[in-house]
Order: sequence, then structure tokens, then C-alpha cells
Amino acid sequence: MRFLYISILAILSVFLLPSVHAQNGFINSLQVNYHTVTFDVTKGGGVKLNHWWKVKEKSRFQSGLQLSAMVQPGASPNVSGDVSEFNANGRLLLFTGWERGFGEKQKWYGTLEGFVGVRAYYIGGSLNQTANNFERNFNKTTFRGDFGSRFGWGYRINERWGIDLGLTTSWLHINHPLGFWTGLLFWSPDVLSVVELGVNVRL
Amino acid sequence: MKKYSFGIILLLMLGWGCESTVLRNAQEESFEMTSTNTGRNYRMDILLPPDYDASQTYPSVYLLDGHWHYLNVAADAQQLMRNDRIRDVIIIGIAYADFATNTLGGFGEISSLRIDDLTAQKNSDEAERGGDAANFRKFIVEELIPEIDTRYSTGDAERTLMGHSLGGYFGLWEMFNFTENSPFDYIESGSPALWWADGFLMDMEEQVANAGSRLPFRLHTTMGTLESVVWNAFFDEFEERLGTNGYDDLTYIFERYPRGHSAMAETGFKEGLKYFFGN
Repeated sequence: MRFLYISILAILSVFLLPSVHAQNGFINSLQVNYHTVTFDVTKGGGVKLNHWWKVKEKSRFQSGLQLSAMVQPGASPNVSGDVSEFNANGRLLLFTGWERGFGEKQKWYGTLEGFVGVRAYYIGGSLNQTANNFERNFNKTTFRGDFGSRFGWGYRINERWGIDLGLTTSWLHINHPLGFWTGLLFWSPDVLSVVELGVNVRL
Repeated sequence: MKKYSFGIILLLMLGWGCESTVLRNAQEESFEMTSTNTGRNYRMDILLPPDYDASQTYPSVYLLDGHWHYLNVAADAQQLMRNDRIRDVIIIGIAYADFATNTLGGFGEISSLRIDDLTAQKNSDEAERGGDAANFRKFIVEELIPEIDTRYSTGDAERTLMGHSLGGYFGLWEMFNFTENSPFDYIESGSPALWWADGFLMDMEEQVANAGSRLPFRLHTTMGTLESVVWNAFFDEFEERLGTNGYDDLTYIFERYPRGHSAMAETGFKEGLKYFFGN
């Protein structure tokens, strides 16, 4: 059923959004972020390009395309022998949602967006385990679809520059009893919740 | 109202962890038992087939870590039974009774308890928890199975043990430790923690092979390709050793999916149900 919802969202994004009045210029803002996962297990960076479909006094309805890459240590349990491991993942995500200003001068702003996209993961390395006397290599690239939400909070220094703090959360495992928190608690790269810290530049 | 809508949506999103406790339109029951073997209080969540008939006998599926997995497995099982994808079965989810599954505190408590119950030895000499599987197994075999067989129309045939991670480890430990004396016929071992206690289960497998013991089981085991090098390396090695040692009575299948550790559980359980009971 979740794929039905994703498909509907994707179709709405493609066909309905262009009918809304667009601002001048296709890319209206740019976000460059440092990425890290809660508990500091994953690090990387990303760029998000936003297009404002509709601008009101305090809010903007926008879509954004984010490309990011992260590396992370493996979840290597304590075993005898040698373990080498390199993990990396890249994401291409399409966001749609609102940005809203707060305060008299709207210096503070929040964003709430949903996303769909694709992730590519690479896990590679080897285990030379002495207790059971075996050596194994494992190398695998895995692609997965993804969907979820992004909550952002920021402060606008001037008309052009702002600083952002965001939390992008995959909802792939939302059926789990811990729901939203699953991505924060489990080391499981397909349910990542990523904290983003960076700048938001209005073009 | 409009002023606060942004905050309300955010709070709803953060509160998504509030679980529902029952399935819609399902025949479900639950009861609690305090084990004389472990001293712990367990809650059993039971899913009966859509047209449960007490005059028939159904296979029983004992699901470890029911606090986390019962709802997903029961939902999948109900759908599969209604669509005639699998034969009718009874699902028994084994959960810790005194802890909320959808709170961070409950998660922590359950995580500690399951290390005790699901492992036959501590992960290392320094570890504080673990190693109480023998008593937990006594609870299942001596207390729970007789209770289930009394309450419901279940029998000895096709009794199934399902577990994920340390639960997957527990299923393999049951298979290798009790061999033909196990009350279980089918073992679903999702993402088994074969690395636990420095590969202790691999040693057990070698001992069973050297002793020429029978393994009269059907085994369905799964691993996510996103579960790191160590998990996958042990899984690959384990598959090769089972094949090399060639157990005549053991029917098994190893499957891999593009999943991480936590997301692998539901997929593995669903595929296990189809493997064991598929029409």
C-alpha cells in the first residue's frame, strides 16, 4: 500500500505542481549541508536545490532535489580476527513542502517537507575470523526506493543567507512499533535519520 | 488554528510511534503467563485463522520478540491466509508483558531482557547480560506449548519457531542443541546473529556434523545485504558449511534481500510463512 501512496505523491508532484504559479527563475534557493546520523555514525554532505512554486507573505510552497553522499562505519560486532569494512551511501531525493517564516521580521523559519527518492549503498570488506578459521570477502551495491519527511529550522542572517538545521527521516520502517524513532535507534542504513547542518542561500 | 498548524503537524509526526494493539477484523486473543523457569512475566498474542474451527488441527507458529514483530507478522499472516497464499496457521507472539513496546524506556528494558532469554552464552566474558536461553527454552517447551495445545486446536505437526537477530540465533541453537529431540519442525531464522560469542553456533554445527546427528528440520533463513560485512560473511560461511556437511534430514533455503537489519525482520518472516505453509 505504501508504494501506492508514493506513486500518487510522485504523480501529483509531476503533473499538478507546474500548474501552480512559479517564481522567476527555476532554482530559487540552495542548501548546502553537512550530514550526520544521530549517534555520529555517518558523515557526509549534500546539496539541495529548491524551486518555489508559490510565495505568500510568510510562506513558500517549494520542491527540492537533493543529492547527498555519506560514509559510515560498519556495524562490526566484536569477533576474533580482522575486520575491514567500507560503507557508503548516496541519495537522490525529491522534496515537496512548505517553508514558513516566524517572528515580526521572519528571521526564523521552519520547513516541513515530504520526500521520495532512491538510495544506493555500497558495503565492502572482509572478515578473517580466527575462532572458526575462515576468511570471507563481501562486496555489494544495493539500490532502494525511499520515502519520508524532512523538518528544518533556520535563522535568516540577511535577505540572501540563512543557516539551517534539518532532520531527514526515512519512513521505510514506519510499521515498526517504534515508528518514527526506528531510524534513530537502529543501525540500519535503509532507515536512516539524517541530521543536516548548513547554509540556505536565496538566489 | 492556522497559526499553530505547522507545530501540530510536527508533533503528529514525532508521535508516530504510538502503536495500535490489535488488527482489524482478526480473531485475536492474548493472555499472560509468569514462567517458573525464568521468573518473568510474558504476554502471548494469538492470531487465529479467519475461519478457525476447533475440530481441525492447525500448525502453530511461535514468534520470538512478539513485542516488536507480532503486529507485522499477524497482519501478513492474516492477509496471506485470506488470499489462500498459505494454509491456515495459528501465530503465537511471545512478548514481555510489563513493558511498553513503543517507548524508548520500554525499548531499552526489552533489549536487555531478550539478550538474557535468547542467548545460550554471554557475548564475552565481560558481558553483564546473556546466557539464559536454556531456561527460556524450558518455558517455551514445558510451560507455553502445553498451554497453547490446551487452549487451541494445535498439534505436534509443523510446529514452527520464528525469530530475528538474536531470535534467529535462538532458532539455530534450538536446532543444533536439541536436534531430533526438538518439538519444532520448522525454523525461521531471520538475520541470525551467527557472530554472537565469537561464532559459537558455528562450533555447534561442526560438533553436530562430526557426531553424525540427524537434523530433521525445514530451515528458512534470511540476511539483508545492508547488514554489514560481519553479518554477511558469517551467513555466507554458514551456508557453505551446511552444504559441505550435507545433512540428509535437513531441508533449507538461504535468502538475501536488499534490507538493513531492522527492516529485514518483516520481510524474512513473511517469506518464511510462504516457504513453510505456501499453497
